[in-house]
Amino acid sequence: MLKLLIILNLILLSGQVVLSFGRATQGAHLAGLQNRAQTLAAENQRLRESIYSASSLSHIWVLAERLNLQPRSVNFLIPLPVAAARP
Amino acid sequence: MKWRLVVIQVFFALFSLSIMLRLGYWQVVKAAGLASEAVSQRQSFLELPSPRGEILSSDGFPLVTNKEAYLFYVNPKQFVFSPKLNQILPASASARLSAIPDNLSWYLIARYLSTPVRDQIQDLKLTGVGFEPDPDRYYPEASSSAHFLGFVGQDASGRPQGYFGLEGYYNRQLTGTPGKLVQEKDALNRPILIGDQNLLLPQPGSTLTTSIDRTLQFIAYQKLSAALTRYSAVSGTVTIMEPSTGRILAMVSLPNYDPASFGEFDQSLYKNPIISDAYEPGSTFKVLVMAAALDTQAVQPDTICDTCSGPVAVSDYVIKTWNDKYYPQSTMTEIIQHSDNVGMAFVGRRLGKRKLITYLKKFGIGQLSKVDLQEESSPSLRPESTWVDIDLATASFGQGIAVTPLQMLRAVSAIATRGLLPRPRIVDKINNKSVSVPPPTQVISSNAAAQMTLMMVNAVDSGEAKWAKPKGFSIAGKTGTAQIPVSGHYDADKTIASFVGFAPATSPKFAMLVTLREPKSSPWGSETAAPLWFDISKEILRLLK
Repeated sequence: MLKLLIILNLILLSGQVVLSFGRATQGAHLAGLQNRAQTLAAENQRLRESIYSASSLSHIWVLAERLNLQPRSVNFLIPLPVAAARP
Repeated sequence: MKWRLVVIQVFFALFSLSIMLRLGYWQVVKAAGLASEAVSQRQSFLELPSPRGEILSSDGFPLVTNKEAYLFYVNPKQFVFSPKLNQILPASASARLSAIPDNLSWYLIARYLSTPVRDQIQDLKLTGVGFEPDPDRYYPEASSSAHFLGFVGQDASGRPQGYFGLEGYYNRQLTGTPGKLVQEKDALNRPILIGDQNLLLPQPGSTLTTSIDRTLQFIAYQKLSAALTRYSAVSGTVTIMEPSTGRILAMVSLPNYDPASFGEFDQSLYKNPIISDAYEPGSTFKVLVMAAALDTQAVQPDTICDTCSGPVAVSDYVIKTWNDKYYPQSTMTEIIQHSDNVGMAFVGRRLGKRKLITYLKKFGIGQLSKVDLQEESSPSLRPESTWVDIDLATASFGQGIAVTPLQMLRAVSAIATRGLLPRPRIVDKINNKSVSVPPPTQVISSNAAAQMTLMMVNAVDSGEAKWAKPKGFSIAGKTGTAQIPVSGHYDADKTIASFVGFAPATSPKFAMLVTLREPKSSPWGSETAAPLWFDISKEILRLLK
């Protein structure tokens, strides 16, 4: 009976050592995952910024002007209404 | 021989006792200190930054959001300077680099560095440098909404703090609560899973959904920018409101500043002129005085002015019309149509100063509108006892009295909505929960508002600005040209040109006020502010169809 208890105790101790070792070494894996999560979050934020920038009206306006999709601006030397009101 | 044995025994006994005492000292007397030192060696404390809340337009597009940025610091005891840093960092940071004190172990060099700049510094592989996440504000629509958004600076302890506009007014809601991560780490800085861990997640700031229509905001910004150039005006504002609810649809003021780099601009540009700058409204004010006179039945639309045939003397002053043309036997409708100062002096006399002041207060003149923007201010109405006859006469055509553009637009919105004065506001929802707003208050009767609306429609159809009106729309409006008071008298050359109105007149979708300060091409509101108003309104009516 005593031998059995000693063997059982040794098995449990061995198991504890193996599990503790395993959990302790998982820290490296966790650190890697944390870094990966941070990188992806940063990348996600950069992509969101790009989407906002590309879909902003001011950006679309500039693109449209480059593609000649906007009417050319007219510079009035004198205000049109004053000119039109003159005989 | 025996005494030698005794000496050795005593020696070993004393040696054992000293070890026991030393162990006792460490384990009992110094136990707490050593334990905390051990914990501090393996335990790391990390503050997790909480993102500041976003500010969205009515369609959910961010007007302000956050972007990735970094705080750059050095440990002066380990840091070795590289001249390449000066080429990478902004000038202000380079100046701090050249004055690093030796006695510190942490010294801030720069904040809000972009990711590429951080990467460039990291590539130099310098010792004694470090970075921390330091989120910055990002404005996808650039500076077009600067005045009502405000900006984020720092408070006395270096924490982000909103100033002006929505950032200032809703600073508490926009500011999140930082999180904390306490974790045990090994010698290689890897987490120890069997150690203690304590994670408190950061609480992000609330998201504000505004009533701003970003398309209208952009159109107003573009048109106002072009108008300032076209009319050579010093500054200008455009404010568009949904009159039935008081929701601000667009709010633009130029010149403005870039909230992303606010420190590079003059501080006088920070405040929003639409809510904090007072101006004399000129003829646009006539609609409020006439509406009050109609509501009290001091006049009717067809009441004849029997003093409109020429200039009128009031005390030691002579009241004239703006163009020195006179229209004898004018009706009230024609007085508004011709923007007749003499006719308005007649209306003012009929109304009386007590009732005029009462109605001005009802319209919200001289009081804060309580719009949800920081730094609102209001010129106060003078007490009734200080008003003399000339004050009543000039106030009835909008001189000698001051309002903010928002007060003026709000008051005219009451005419658009059958006499109901709205409470202006910009934020519709906080974290998708609707913001409650007090209901509008009745300031004039529905009948008086309808009569005033017809007069304003007639003023647009037959008045000084009729040539600029878009065809096919029923628009109620009024031009205004006010001289600017300088050192106790009016400047002969400088004016504030304005136009206020709403459309469609029968069922208004928007009310808008345009002001242009010191236009050079023409001083008149009918030739500067009115064309701009109609130009923007064409786009709005097309969009709101």
